[in-house]
Formats: sequence, structure tokens, C-alpha cells
Amino acid sequence: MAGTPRSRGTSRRWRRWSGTLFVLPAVALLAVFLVYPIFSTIRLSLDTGIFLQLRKFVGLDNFVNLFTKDRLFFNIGPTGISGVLVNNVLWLVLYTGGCVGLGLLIAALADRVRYETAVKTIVFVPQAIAATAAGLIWLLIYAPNPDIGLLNAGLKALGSGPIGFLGNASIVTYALIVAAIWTGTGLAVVILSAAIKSVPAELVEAATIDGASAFQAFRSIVLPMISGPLTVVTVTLAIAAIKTFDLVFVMTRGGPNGSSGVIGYTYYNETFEQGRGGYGAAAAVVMLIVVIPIILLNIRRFRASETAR
Amino acid sequence: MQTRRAPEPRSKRWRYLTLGAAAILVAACSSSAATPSPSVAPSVAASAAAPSTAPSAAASPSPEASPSPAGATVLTVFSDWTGGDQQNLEQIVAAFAKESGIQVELSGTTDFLPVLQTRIAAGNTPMVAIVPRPGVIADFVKEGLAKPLDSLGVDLAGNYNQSVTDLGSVDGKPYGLIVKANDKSLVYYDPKRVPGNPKPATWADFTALLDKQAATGIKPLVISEKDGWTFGDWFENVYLRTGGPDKYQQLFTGKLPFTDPSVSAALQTMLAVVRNEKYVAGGLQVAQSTGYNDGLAMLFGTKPTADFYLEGGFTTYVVTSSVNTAIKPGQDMAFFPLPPIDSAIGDQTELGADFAMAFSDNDATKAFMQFLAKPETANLWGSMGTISPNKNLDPSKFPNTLISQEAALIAGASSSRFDGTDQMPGDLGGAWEQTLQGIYADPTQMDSLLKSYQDHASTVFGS
Repeated sequence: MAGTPRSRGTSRRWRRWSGTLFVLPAVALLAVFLVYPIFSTIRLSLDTGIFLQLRKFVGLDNFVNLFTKDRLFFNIGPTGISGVLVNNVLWLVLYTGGCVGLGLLIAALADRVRYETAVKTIVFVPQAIAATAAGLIWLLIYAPNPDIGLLNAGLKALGSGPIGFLGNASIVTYALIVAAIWTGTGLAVVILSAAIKSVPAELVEAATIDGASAFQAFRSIVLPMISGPLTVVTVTLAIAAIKTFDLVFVMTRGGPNGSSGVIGYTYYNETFEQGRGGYGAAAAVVMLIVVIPIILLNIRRFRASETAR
Repeated sequence: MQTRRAPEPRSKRWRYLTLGAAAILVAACSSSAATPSPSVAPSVAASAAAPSTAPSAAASPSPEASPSPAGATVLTVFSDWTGGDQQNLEQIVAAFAKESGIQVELSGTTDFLPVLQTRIAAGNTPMVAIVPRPGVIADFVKEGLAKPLDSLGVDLAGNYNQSVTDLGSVDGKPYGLIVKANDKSLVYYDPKRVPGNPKPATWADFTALLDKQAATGIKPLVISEKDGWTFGDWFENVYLRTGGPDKYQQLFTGKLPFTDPSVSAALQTMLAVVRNEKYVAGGLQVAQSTGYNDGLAMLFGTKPTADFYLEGGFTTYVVTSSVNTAIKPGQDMAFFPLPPIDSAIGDQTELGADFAMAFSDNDATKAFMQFLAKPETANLWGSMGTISPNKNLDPSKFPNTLISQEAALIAGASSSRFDGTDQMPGDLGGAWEQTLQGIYADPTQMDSLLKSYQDHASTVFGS
């Protein structure tokens, strides 16, 4: 019976239909909560979007204004380029680099000591703290009053004057990134540490017997073997860097003089504070465009590892 | 050589210990009292008190059978307040609920604009909103969302002077009812640190007072421009006294450009004081990274290090309720009005206010707006330290001398203008405050920053 052409046809047809059926709920959810909002945001970015409603079609005006008229978004001045986009590049490079670099260092070193769990837990604790709370903690650490601010208390003990970490346009973004690295490193440590543990000890042992130093063994054996998890961590943190918002909102609100703004904050501020939904949506679309290449990279990697299996 | 170890019980213990520490940390952070960030107050339902039944009434009266004049309507009220101001509003709302039998749902957040705009966009518009900016009221009127006060049966003429009604009017029609007014030209000090009831009559007297305090080896003036609005108030006060009230009004309503020489002249006068290393408490770095509450703590905290702070009368309440509850107004805390700068322009007062405005004209909204305009409501508010501009207000109700003095200053002002940035549409005021921060950081950039702000302002005013 099972071998007759008729039953094979039904089962094939059933298989095709059942597949569609199983995928349908997921597709419906994605369509409602992901695809529709993306297109609606793109549509909104071509409008004035007052009160988040479509009011007046303005074409690409919002984008043109973002890049040519918005001093705080993108500005080419006598002292160089500045603005939100530059800040986001700093976040992308320093936050991602800082988290992954520190994470790799801590994961590799902790692997060699007896109190590994303690070290990893301490580094991971900030992950368990809400971003708002982390922002408040760092507001206190950076406070200019030496009686409140930890850093300025230290500077005072060294006989130096207080530094306004969050009030100085030239250091505020770096100060925010340091706070963000404090919260983000834990994730990198946990994932990379697990990856390092999955590297067979025999391989490292063999290399050591062949005369490789600890660093050489790490660089030539461990690092290539954890390249998968390393990429995942890097991509995750890079996307987080591009869409960063919470620390900026809690700690500086983009100030002083807009010098610590990021795309996510521009989106929030324009849409909800200034009521210019279209302009805010344009910033969100810029963010989407910036994120796409990173996501594509991730998908390509994903495909490559699928075929390798 | 490195070997993998089996997990030891020791490491497990560590894990629990550190987890516990993490939990304590998180708990400690969430209960941190000095929260400079805005917080959203939970919605408080001030449900109507059931009407007391007469003793002669029949047994088992149903508490649900309250005679509600507006049917089952629940009045939704939204405010720009949290903390003490919001608690005061809760009392007002409770009094209204008791009198009218109307149930009220109250919510508030200092981030009022994002929440209000989202609620409107989502079709969940509150019936009454309390907002601090006439500019925002004008935006809502332009969108056709606000209801004029005369259509709600509010007795304006009987309770307010025309000049007060005008502050909340858009194109001559009244929309905003002032529920709380503040004098924003007050220089606060601690009489124990600055004795002799100083009351400088001229700008020279004021700087002489700063010099005198500076001579004792401290930097007396607190500038806290991390919160841009405090710095915006400084500029408004100085410009009002150097440019005069007419130019002031033109500047903030888009009729005079910010590139006008009078603006940079006012900025120079202002920076000579607020950017003076001799005066600024902690130095410029501290001024740039200190916010309003932290700035007040430098004067009225447990370890004061400075002497003067320019801000609005609401400061009295903020200090005594959240900066240092041990401070007694009048005894540990006093103020003098910022003196005139140009004798030809004379005494000037900058005002701030919170307005009640209606998005609905149903009966519950009408009843509430009428209730807010009553002298009895103004007196209840006055007893909590909130100054209403109601002309029938009984000044003996004020809880302390500073509030009485502030109310007298507002009532007796020879010339007053409303907070300039609050009159501007959208968040143009916020952008101006950011521009001021930029100028403070680097005054050599003043001209280019003013020009680029004006470019932005003209597109907003032009539309």
C-alpha cells in the first residue's frame, strides 16, 4: 500500500501543506509585529508625521534635513565631523571592541585560575542590573561633587580638581561607553568562556608538547576554534551598540548641547518630545539601514555553518 | 599545562553568595532615593467617596447607588507632576470627587510630552491635562484637540485678572487655566551663611554681594546647567532685564531673530557672572555636569559649600521635600528677587505656571474645570504651598513665609513676562537650552551656534 503512487502523492501534498500550516502562525506574528511596523515606519519617514499620523507627504525631505541641516545629527564643522552618527560609530567601535576584547581576556585568564566562578560572576552581575539602575549607578560614580562621585573623590585624594565627566562635550560619549562596557562585558565573558571550555584539552596539550607557548596555543588553536561564538557575540554587541538608548536617556538625555546623542535617542526625542514623528522615523530608518549589513553578515555566516554540517 | 576540573562544591557556594550579593545590589539600586531621572507615578484612582447616608435612611443602602451627575463617566486627569506636587493634586482630586461624586483616574509624569502625545496618538486622550507650557497648549489648539474654557462654563472673569487669562489664551481665546504660578526670578540663599537680609537693588549690588562672599574664600554661585532648563531661566532673566519685556516677547515668539545683537549682548553680561571662575561653585566643570537637585544640595544639603541659586519659587518645596527635609523656610532658606540690570528697563519678573486644559467637553470635564477655578479650590491648594493666581485667594492660608512672599511678589510685580522657552512651540525651547550649553562650553562659538539655532527656529516658526 505504502508504495502505490497515489498514496505517495497524498503524503507529499500533505507534507507540503502541513509545512505551510506549521509556518503560518510564525509568519503571521512576524508580519504583524515586524514587517508591518518596518513598512509603516518607512512610510512615516516620508511624511511630517505629526502625532504619529500621516499628515503631509514630504518625500525625502526628512532624510535630506537629517544629513544637511541637523547640526546635532551630522555636522561637518571647522573642528571636524561631529554629531549623532559619529557618536554611533564610536559606540560601534569602542563598545563592541571593549566588550569583546575585555570579555575574551577575562574568559581566557579566568580559565586558568581556581576562583574562575567568582571572577565570572562578578563580571556578569551588571548584566542582571536593569539598564536604568546601571545608569543611576554611573551617574553617582561620575558625579562632580567629590562627596558623591567615586571618581572625583579619587581625583580629589590625588589633589586634582573635579572633572565633569558628563558635562564636558569632548568626553561625555566616552564616559557613557565605559559605563556600557561595564554592563555588556558579562555577556561576552559567559559565552566566550563556554566556547573556550568546549575546545578539547588534548589539542592544547598536543600543541604545548610540540613546544607552543601558552599565547601561541591560544592564538593558533583556541581562537580559530571559537571563531563561531566570537562572531555571534561581536554581532550581538554591534547591533546593541547601534541601537543603544537607555544609558544615554538616563544619564545625559543626549546633552550637553546634544553632544552625547545617538540615533536611538534622536528617534525618541524627535518623535515623542518634539512631536515630529516623520523626522524621528527617518532617524529610525537610518538605523535600520546601518544594521542591515551586520545582519546580512550574520546570515551568511549562519548559512555557511549550515552547509558545513 | 592546563586541565579541566570537575566543578567543586566551593564554586557552587560562591555562585550562591555572589547571586545573593547581586540581588542586594539590584534592590539597593532600585530603592536609591536620589533619583535624578524622571519617574512615572503609578496611576492613582481617587475613587469617589460614597455619599454619606442620612441616619434616617432605610436599612442597607447600596454604596454603589451614588448620585453621579455625569453617569458612569470616569474623569481622566493627566499631569506633568510627580512627587509632592502630584500628592497635592491627589488631594484636590479627592476633594472634587467627594463634592461631585465623579470618579477620577489620575496619572502623572515629568516626561509629560512623550506620554501625552502617545496617548493622543493611541486614542487614549485624557479629558484634562496639566501642562507647564503655553507653547504646548497652542500646539494642541492648532491640532483642534483643545476645548476653550468659555465653552466649559468656567467663571474666568469672576476669579482671574485678564492678564492671567491671557497667559493661557491662544489667539485671544482662553484654553489654559493656571492652577499653579511661580516667580522664576528668585535668588535663594541660607540666611545663616549670608546674614543681614541682603536685597541688592542693582546689578552692581548683586555682583558686589557675590564678591563679598567670594572674599571669604568660597565660590558662592551655584550653576547647574546639566539640566538645561535652569540655564534657560538664567538667560531669560538676564534678557528680560537687558533687552526689555517687549523684545523678550518678540524673541520667544519668533518675531526677533536670536542673531539680534541684543541676544549676544545679554549673553556677554550673563557669562561675566555665570562663567566667572571666581563665582561659580566648584568651577566650570562642576557647573556643566550638575543638575538642579544636586545644585540645590550644594546650598541646602547637609554639607553646604555655596551660597546662591537662581530659580523659581517651586524650589522652596523641592528643597524641603526632597533635598533636605530639615530645612525650615524663612529660617534656613530665604530669597531676594534678581535685581534690574538696566535702570531704564527697571524691575522685571519672570513667571512660570502650570495650566489645566481640557481635551473633552463632557459634563465631568466641565465640572472639574469649574471646580479648579473656584476660590475654595485655590485656598485648598494655597494651604499646601501652591500659589494660585485666583484673585479671590485668601493669602492667610499659605503654609510659610516664603510662599507668602513669593505670592506677594507675583501679585505686586510692576512688569512680568512668562517663561520664554515654555512659550515656544514643540521642543524649540529644549533646543535653545542645548544651544546655551554649547555657548557655555565654548563662548567663542557663540555667533555660529546662535546662527545655527536661528536657522532651526525659523523653520519651526515659519511652518
